[in-house]
Amino acid sequence: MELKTQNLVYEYDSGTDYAKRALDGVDITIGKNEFIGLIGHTGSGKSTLIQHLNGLLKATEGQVLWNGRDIYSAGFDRRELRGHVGLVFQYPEYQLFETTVLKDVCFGPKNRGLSEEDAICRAREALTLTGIDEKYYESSPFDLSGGQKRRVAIAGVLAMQPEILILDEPTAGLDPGGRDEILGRVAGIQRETGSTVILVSHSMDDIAEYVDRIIVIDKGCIAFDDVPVRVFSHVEELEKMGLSAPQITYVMHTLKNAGFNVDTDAITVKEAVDSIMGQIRPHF
Amino acid sequence: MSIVKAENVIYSYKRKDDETEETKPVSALAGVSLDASEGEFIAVLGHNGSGKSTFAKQLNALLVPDEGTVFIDGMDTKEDKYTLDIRKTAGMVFQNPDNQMVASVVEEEVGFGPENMGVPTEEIWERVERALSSVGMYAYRESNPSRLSGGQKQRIAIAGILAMEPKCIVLDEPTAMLDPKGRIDVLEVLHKMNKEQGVTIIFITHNMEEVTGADRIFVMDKGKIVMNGTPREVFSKVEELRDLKLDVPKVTKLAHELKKRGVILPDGILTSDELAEALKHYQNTPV
Repeated sequence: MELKTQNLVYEYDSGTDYAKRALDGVDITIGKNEFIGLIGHTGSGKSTLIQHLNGLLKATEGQVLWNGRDIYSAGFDRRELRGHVGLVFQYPEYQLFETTVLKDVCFGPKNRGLSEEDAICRAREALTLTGIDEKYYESSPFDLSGGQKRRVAIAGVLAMQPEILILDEPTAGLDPGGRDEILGRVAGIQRETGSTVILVSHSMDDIAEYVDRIIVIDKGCIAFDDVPVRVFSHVEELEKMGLSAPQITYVMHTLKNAGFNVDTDAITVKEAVDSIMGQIRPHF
Repeated sequence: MSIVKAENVIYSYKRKDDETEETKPVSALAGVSLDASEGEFIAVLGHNGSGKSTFAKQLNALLVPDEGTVFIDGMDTKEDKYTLDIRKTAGMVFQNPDNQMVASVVEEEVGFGPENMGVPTEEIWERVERALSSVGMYAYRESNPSRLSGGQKQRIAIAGILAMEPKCIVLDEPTAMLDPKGRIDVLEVLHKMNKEQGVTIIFITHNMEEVTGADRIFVMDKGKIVMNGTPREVFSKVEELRDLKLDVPKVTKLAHELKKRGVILPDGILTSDELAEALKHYQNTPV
């Protein structure tokens, strides 16, 4: 499985005085079973990019290749692509509409022509992956808590068994408990189903905690595409782009400046603890 | 002098059952008491469904208590004759800036509130200019709000409230949809208004890093205040907060984890400078 963009350009209001390039020559390659973080400030082009990855938007220039095939070529079924590349929008719970949780999650697979039985089977699997207990299957999705609703909405996309799952700010508006629950489940899905996850987030701390690769987009171009440690070593450049490093990285810089020989590459609490413990001897 | 005084506020939403047509109450606030003095910066934390937003709406009479009382600058929110004055005193900013914009030019957006209040035209322009300057958006006065970033829009929404010259601003998760720069800018504006103009701030958020500079933090759970204290006091309770589906700032968590490994540190470390200072006594004992 490979999804690739080549010199992807997307222009709003093409041919008018207001023409603006939201994407300006994006080249990325997405492979099997990756956990990717996509970051960029508001208006950087993140959302425009992810809508190209499942063919919702058509590029002004350039190509999107699914397993080597141009998705804009004649005869390519872009609807089928959407089964392979699942997109969970921001606040997906606003799109819940069915009378029961199970029916809502079955909607996608049934719409793709699966039998009632197969659809239910997939829905159960998806709901298990997102941690929704069976006792809620017959409840109205609107009676659930905010975090549960969102997990039902994610299950709706998962039931399509996508090879790539894209989540646009899946934790926006959730409390820390709900955030950890969703991200923990998403990490489990990536591990257990072998799918690739692309997480769009404004939280550098969440990105640092979970992903293996970070793509940074700025003014419609890819600014960095690398492992987290290397991306977050560019603190100043990230700040100029309206982003930041994880909180922990700043803490480590402060400690370093105060004379502690700690590792400023640490991006998570765990890494920071290990690094600091290596530098001090507790008075037991 | 207290600007916000909530005394044992009880409130239920009335929900109608689709089939039986019966209405039954769903409890949202189960006795909330909170007292904020003029000029304080108050943060309210709590998991989704804990009652934060319902409480916020009580503060400018969008909702009124079933039992108990809310006084805004001494005015009882249950008395209709005060409603307009209460809304002039306590302005509200919500999560999604896009839902709060009414005009197509920034200046008009900010001037809408004072105009609606009947402020003379000449003074409206002065207020708009002051409000836009204090949120750092004066240069955008002739822009179209829809072309601004999320953080800029949220600052315009705050300016719109500021132009009504309220004594108090209540903000319900104003940073939830913003990128890191947008968050920092909004936070800076709030602290500046609080310090320089003495505006009381009631700030609701899920982001623990944003409230370390507050004067006091109130933590809600099941429609009640379950913790209340300075950021240091509240964030010392790492495990209790986790049980309430909340968290602590990353540096506080780091210090907490180090303590568990035997490092001697005080509770409730809130900044990296504090951590560096507290670790100093280890500096002369390298491994």
